[in-house]
Amino acid sequence: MSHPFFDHRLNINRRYFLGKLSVGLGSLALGSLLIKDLFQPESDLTSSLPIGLPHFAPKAKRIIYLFQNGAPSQLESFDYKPMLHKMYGQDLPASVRNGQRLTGMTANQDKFPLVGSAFSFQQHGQSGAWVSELFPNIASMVDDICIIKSMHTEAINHDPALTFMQTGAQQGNRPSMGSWLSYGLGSENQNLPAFCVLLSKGKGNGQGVYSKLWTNGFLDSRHQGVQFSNSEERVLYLNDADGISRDERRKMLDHLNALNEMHYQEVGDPEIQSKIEQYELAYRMQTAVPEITDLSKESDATIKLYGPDCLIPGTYASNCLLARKLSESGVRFVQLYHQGWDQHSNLSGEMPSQALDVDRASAALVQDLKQRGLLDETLVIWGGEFGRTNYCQGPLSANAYGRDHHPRAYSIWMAGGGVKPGIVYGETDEFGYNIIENPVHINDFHATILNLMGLDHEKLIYKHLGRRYRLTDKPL
Amino acid sequence: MHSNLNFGLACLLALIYTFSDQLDVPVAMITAGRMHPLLLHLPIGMLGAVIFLHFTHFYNEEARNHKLKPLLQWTASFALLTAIAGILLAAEAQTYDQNEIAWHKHTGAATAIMMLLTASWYGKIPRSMQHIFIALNVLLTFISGHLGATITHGDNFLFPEKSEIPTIASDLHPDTQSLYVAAIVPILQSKCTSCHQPEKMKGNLDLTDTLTILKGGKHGPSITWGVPESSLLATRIHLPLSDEEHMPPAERQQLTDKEKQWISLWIQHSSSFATKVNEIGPEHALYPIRQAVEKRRPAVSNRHAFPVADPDEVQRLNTFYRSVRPLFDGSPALHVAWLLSGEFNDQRLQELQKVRENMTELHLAGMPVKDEHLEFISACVSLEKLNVNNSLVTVKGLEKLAGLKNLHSLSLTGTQTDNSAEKIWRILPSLKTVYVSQTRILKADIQNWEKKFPNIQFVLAPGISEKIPLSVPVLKNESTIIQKEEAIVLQHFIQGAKILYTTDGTSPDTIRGKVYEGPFQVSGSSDIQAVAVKDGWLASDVARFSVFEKGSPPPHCTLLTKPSMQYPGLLEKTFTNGEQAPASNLRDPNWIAYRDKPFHGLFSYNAPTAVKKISLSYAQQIPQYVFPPVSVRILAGNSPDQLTQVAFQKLPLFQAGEKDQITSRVLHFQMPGKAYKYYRMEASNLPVIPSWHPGKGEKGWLFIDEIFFYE
Repeated sequence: MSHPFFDHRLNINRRYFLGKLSVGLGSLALGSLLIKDLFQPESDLTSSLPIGLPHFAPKAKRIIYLFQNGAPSQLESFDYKPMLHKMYGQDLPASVRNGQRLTGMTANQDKFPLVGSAFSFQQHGQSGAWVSELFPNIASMVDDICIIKSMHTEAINHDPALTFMQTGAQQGNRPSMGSWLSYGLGSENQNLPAFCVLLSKGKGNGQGVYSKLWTNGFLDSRHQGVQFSNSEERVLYLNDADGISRDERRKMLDHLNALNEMHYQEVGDPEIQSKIEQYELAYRMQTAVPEITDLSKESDATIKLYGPDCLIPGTYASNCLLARKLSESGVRFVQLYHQGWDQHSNLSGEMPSQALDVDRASAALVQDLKQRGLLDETLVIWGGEFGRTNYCQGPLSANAYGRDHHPRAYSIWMAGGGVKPGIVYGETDEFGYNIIENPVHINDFHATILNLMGLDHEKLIYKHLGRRYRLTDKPL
Repeated sequence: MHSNLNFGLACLLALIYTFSDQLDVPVAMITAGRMHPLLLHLPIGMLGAVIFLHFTHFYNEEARNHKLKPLLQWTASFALLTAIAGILLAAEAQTYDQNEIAWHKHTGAATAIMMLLTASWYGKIPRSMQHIFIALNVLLTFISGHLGATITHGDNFLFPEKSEIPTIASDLHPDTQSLYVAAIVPILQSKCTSCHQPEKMKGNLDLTDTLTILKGGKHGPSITWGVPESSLLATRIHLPLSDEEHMPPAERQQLTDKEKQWISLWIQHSSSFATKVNEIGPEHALYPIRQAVEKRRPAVSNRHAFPVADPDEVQRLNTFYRSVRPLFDGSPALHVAWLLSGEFNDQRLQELQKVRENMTELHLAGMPVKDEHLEFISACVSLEKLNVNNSLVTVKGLEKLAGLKNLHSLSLTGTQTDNSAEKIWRILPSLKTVYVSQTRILKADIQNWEKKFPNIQFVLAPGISEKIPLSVPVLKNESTIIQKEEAIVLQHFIQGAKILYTTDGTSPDTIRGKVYEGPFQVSGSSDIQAVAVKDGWLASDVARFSVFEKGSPPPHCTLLTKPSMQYPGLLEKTFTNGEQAPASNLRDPNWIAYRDKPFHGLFSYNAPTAVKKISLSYAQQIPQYVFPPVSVRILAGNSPDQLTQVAFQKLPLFQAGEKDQITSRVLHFQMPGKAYKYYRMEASNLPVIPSWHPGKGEKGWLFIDEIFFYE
């Protein structure tokens, strides 16, 4: 089988042919210099997955991203601002807001009454980081994590902000971070997708999570994130139908592959090759997935660590435990989404139950990786798509308040592979509104993650529609 | 005519060539001189055209003379102009090394004169001589061109050699790298050593080696430690650009301000080349340089000295049960992981024989690794990280690892290791971290070892010692509407947890609760309450499940008020179709919703029927403005016009901060037991949402999925 790059006859139309002719042999010669194995035949089906390697020594091999969808308030979690108590109910000074655009939900408010956290803060650990009482378990491990208080984004609404966080662009259709890593580093475990997605939902006001967030975009579809089910059978339709033995399944696949191969020879669409590989991956997953998703053999100590919900399929805790198992088995990127963090109103009512759902299990994941000697090679990221305003959305009342979207400053935390533990990076002003030290833009965030994974963010590129794309493309 | 012009130019060239040492270039002429690098390309290109025409018109002397002569004249003109400009440039820019320039000047002038001679004589000499003249032109152009290019681009431009710096292997290791190698050498390499190197020795200075740097050049040593003011390496770069002594020469690429600053700082605060990067503390004046250096260097540089394993062999070893990968592109070190526990055996382990000295990381977590397998692992001498979590290894087997001199991380979590493992810590000299959670090793052992082995970090997770509550039991039945004879199935996911339940609406405890031993039957609509208990845990919260038999739904239903256009459900069929909808998905077609008007529905039997109980199931999703009904009224009678009230219930308002914001709820109404043909239900939605809610002032939604009738 020759290389798909040259075999792809769909690409060869008249313009392509003439265009190629002019550079012709020169580019072939150059190509063979730049890409070592361009003309090497590939040995078998499984190895035709690109064996990507880090550009340089990586600090982390795998990522678990605990996405808190809906944007948890930084002011009730990691960014302690006593000033907001002192100035409770007073209007946000215009000099602080400085013309910042607002969402349609608060733009027409005549007053922006400042409101402090309804939950108390305390300093924890040797680092002395401030964490609110809503997150006692995360607070107890602040010396293992790095809190970044100076994230900022350009998007002001959920969908573009979330898409920006995940794909490096607000508009969608670009490959997700996990797909880029699958493309750049390949799969460590051929029996599992390199990019797995786990969903859960809290009781708070939720925002949508769409499959475009784990899209492969213009990359080959083998880099797409694979969404796991929340039922007891974590990958649906994986079992053979009744009466089909493993051998029969194999024979059936062989015949199907032969047919697909014929079709590929005819039209040359590389997506047919991807399809064949996906069938093969599913076949191998039939052995691997039951072994990995079986949580019943976990010890009592582990179950207690993650909390009693961790064996109920579809809970955040069970997703955290499963994420550890997948990651331990070599899955490059495990993406969790937990919905319900969009507290425009009744923040003090909703946030405790949201925090209760995630606090113990998030901390447990880090501690579990640590006790298994895996934390130094696994990067754990916790955070949402933007922050929340320091002023109340709608009129402020004694027992309830809400916060609108705030893209200018928000907090996330990271732990594990290559992350300096026990520090707080970046600082916001006393209103928690603007960043005054070490801002981290989403492009910086992505570049840092790729760097920790041993990839140069300017070299991990893919040519599409005539230009080279990368995860850290500056948005226009 | 043209030849006269060229003769004039030649005279001018001869003049300035002869007196080039004494030239004082007027300002107006400086630009003319600096045109040299531009002009020089013209005669070279034109010479190419000359050769082309010379050979293509080989047999047509007429055409050759006719076409070539003017071209030759022009070529000569530009060659002469180039030479003149070159001499002006050399005279003006004193910074050039005059020795290097001398030969370029001589050959350049010779090339121009040769071109002039060719142009003048081409038509008058025999063909063989024409060849020789052309050849001489090419030769001279090549020589002078090459010499000129060397001035601009430096030696080794065409055939670059790999620089050999740094010299000592250990200098590559990030932990021991000196600041000189990490920060200064890259500057010298990019800005200085194209001239100051053993083969060129400009100013008799070689900046490629520490010894020759100290020795210095013709003006003395380059470095006086601690005194940048008297170190030529520092002073020369800080001189103004116009200064003759300034380095690098004005036309070469200059050092950036930061590079200049680094060199001065480094000389001022060092006493030798040996200062290590990682010895520079935060208070040290060189700390900013350390930070910058560490920022730009890759995570871990290539610190493994052994040769790269055969890539084909590595490729072959990658299978569906085993992953063998270099740590990064170009690294000889391999990370090996086993992927399926059923596919682990000794023979497959032995297949790694050929790459065993390249393996630095071996990940066998969860694999059935036994002591006998450690035999092979002990031969993997480069191993730095070994993970045998949840495997079957014992202390006895681990003793075999004595040969692993580089092993610094050993993960034993979930194994049967006990405190006899102390001897293992002794035989592994590089050991830095040991993971021993969920083993038989106790906290006391660790405290003891921490004193004995100060270089080893023992990781033992404290675990959760306090009791925490279990999660609630779950109902496994597909629907809460059960068929006749269908049994209720409860489940708890934690092994060994016991479920206690009641069906009479009381809360289950050890006295009243029945132990769940298997599926059980209920009748009518029942509220099942269940808790889970287990040793070592607190009892779970009480779980409540409302289950319904389908009952005897009336065959006819008429909607007296119109449901919302947005959520019409299945209209009148919604209430009695025996399908409930999930509270989390309001778009489910089994929900029917009311907002502008309250719900009024008339249900009728074919014959009067004595209904004992009516149950109304509704949704509550407070964030989405879905509230419980405010009040429910049931009327009954044997004619639609003559109905009397048989039940009425007013519900308390939902309060801010109340629990269960998203759930399904049921209201039960006991009926008088008399037989009626018609039953009318009226349920009112919340007319005004209270002020604590974001939707305050608006109307609340009422979502109903099912109404049950029991005889």
